[in-house]
Order: sequence, then structure tokens, then C-alpha cells
Amino acid sequence: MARVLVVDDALFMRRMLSDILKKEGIEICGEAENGKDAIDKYQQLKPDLVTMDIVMPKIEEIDGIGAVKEIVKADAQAKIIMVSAMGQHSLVVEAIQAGAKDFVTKPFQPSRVIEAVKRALGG
Amino acid sequence: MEKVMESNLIEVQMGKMELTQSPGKLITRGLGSCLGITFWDPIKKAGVMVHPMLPDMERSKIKSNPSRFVNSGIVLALEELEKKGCFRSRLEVKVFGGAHMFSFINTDSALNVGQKNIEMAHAILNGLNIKILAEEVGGTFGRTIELDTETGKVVVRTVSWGEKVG
Repeated sequence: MARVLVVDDALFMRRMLSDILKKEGIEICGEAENGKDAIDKYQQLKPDLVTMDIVMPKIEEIDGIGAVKEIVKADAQAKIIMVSAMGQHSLVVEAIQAGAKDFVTKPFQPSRVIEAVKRALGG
Repeated sequence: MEKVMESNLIEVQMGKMELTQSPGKLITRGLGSCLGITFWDPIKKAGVMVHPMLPDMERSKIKSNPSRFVNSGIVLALEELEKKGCFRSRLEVKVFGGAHMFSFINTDSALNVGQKNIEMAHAILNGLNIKILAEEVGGTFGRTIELDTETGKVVVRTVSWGEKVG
């Protein structure tokens, strides 16, 4: 079973993403609420995939994109999907260029999240 | 000229993006070093054509118009298609244009915008693991492209060799 780390500063969004993925038989191996926490948990848990909120408060100078850069630096095979909001094109571009594999745009359909996760895990 | 009169034919201007569904058609005329990137979902029969002029939004002071740039234009197109319920995995993506229009600039020069545009499209689509189904790029001539959202076919016209369907 695939193991996913869900990163978002909003608890309700972590819950929503977790519920969507659990219904598909995907294990949520951990949750993180900021980029710094995400880097630490990635090292500990070694998940198959990460969903990463693109805008989170900076902790020790690390935001969502900063976390993508650090995780990809440590593990070039890391599979990270960004969760963005409408109109954040510049941030999404930066995340893709840092190594993120896909993005889903809020408000999202559960089917689109599932597609993104399955596509990233399969590829 | 009668095609211009078709009400379902939408012109995609330089630096713009348009989305339509069957029976709509999208057209870009006289692509030079700009790119024309088409996205088509065969289930929804929805298509997007984006007509970016420059490769990189990050290098521009004005970031207000994402469809002017290749990297942000691709992101914008995918975002708009997502809103319509189109899935990435079934999208057919094709890339056109990126010609080298000024013979006084070397093809390997940093001023070869066409080549930079093509490279950026490859980098972003590859990063997102989106395959390019067809491509007709480079050269030293302009292209007119037309996407039919009913069939997903793109017709490419040039002055030098006439018409191709991809």
C-alpha cells in the first residue's frame, strides 16, 4: 500500500486530503503543518508521496517551496504534489522547476486529487 | 476567408489563452518564435490553445499575464482544464512554433527566443510527466495552427510546405 505524507498548515485541509486518499486504500503515514516539519517527517517516514500546500507560514525561513527544494535535494526520486489555489501560477512554476511532479488547484474535486496521486505513484 | 466567418472558430491572440468545447475550434495565425501549445481532453471534448511569447515568467517584471509565458501558460492551461473536470492522464498535448525568425541572430544565441520557448515547454511538460503527442517546431518560417475540439486534430499550415495534420 502506498504511504503518503500530507503537508498543510490548515487542519481541515489535512483532514480532507487524508479522507479522500484513505477511501482509495492509500495509507496516510504522517501529517506535517509546515515546511520544516515536512522535511523532518520526510526523513523519518520515507513516504512514497507528499502532498504539499504551496503557501504556508515560513518556519526557519522554509515555506512549501523551500521544503520541496530540500526534500528533492535529499531524495531526487521524491514524489511531491503541490496543492495550490487559483491564480498562483508563479509559485506553481517555481515548484515544478524545483522538482514537484504535479499540482492540484483548490477548490479541487476528490477525483482529481486521486488521479494526481495515482499518476505520480505510477510514473 | 469563409472559415473566418464560422461562429465556432475562436482566434487565440498573441499572449492569450482560450478554452472551448466541441464543436468549437481554436486558431492561431502566423506563429513565429511564439509557441502554440494545444491541450485536448477526448472525453470532455474540451481544448485549450495557449500562445505564449517568452519562455519564463520568473524573468519578467510583469507577472500579471501568465499566458504571455511558456512556463506559466502551461500551468494556466492545466488549471483551466482542471476546472472543467479534465484529467491530466488523458490530455493530448501538442507543441508548435518556436521558429527562428531572424537570420542575423545565431541559432544557438541566447536571443533565439524560439529555441528557448521550445526548451521551456519541454522542461515544464517533462517535469509534470505529460507526454507531448506531436510536435512541429523550429525552422525559419511561420505557422498557422487550428485545433478541432471534436476530433483533437491539429492542422498546421505554412507558406513553404502547405498543410499537415497532427
